[in-house]
Amino acid sequence: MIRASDLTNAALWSRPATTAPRNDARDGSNWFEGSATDARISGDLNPAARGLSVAEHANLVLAHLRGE
Amino acid sequence: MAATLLAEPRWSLAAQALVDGCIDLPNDEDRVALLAAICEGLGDELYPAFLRVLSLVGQHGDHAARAAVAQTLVHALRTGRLPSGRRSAWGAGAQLPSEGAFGSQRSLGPLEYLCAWHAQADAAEALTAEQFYAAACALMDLISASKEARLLYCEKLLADVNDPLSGALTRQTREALRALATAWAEGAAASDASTRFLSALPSGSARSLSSLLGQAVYPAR
Repeated sequence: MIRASDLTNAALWSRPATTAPRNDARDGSNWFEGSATDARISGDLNPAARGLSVAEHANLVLAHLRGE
Repeated sequence: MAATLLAEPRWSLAAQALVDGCIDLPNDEDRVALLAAICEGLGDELYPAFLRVLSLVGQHGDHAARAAVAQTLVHALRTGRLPSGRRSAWGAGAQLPSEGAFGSQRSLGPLEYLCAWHAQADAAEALTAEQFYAAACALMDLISASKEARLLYCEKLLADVNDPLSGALTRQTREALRALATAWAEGAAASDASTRFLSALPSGSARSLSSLLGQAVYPAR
């Protein structure tokens, strides 16, 4: 279960972005590797995510994936 | 400027945030807009990141999580707004989107994208059979959380494979995708439907997968 504290942990948000796009969409070997995880994705809404706009929800997702 | 992926993407947190959005937003229009905004934010080159997030929900989501995303896909399918990524049309080479000549890019939905990536990309860039199998099974498990999403997606796939003029898929890929969609529509498990796809391809995909699973693969229909 992902908890609200995970989503607001500043340390998680400050990891550096890669400058070289290692995960080039053209290279299949870079994707879907090492995806084993024991995390559970829950349908119980995180209170911190309640009442956000489309853009705010999208930014939350993108912040976990995308560098600048 | 194209987006770049974090050095260590937080895949599970991204998946949870996607589920939270699908649950929190008040209507289908907003939920489909969320999927579109994520894909737009990633851009074509990082569209596979969206596929991985969807796959994670399929693999590790509880029923409510998977159903929330699958129900969003229902509305996306109904309104022709399935979140898509662009790949080169077959025969157009492996250009980046920014390098593509006019008309050489084709938009593909999540499952079709995986199929084309395995079957039509250059060998060095293609998903292996094992990678395709894992990702496709997880994605189909996600979609199957909604019976309606599964049926609508199968209808879309079968319509796509009957449209050779789109230029997105080769004849061989279309026939393999037809085998997948037909099996899936008839109630086959995601693993069986994915294996049908691989078995219908003329390459060594089926042998590779058979070796991986240690079991016989299904013959092409």
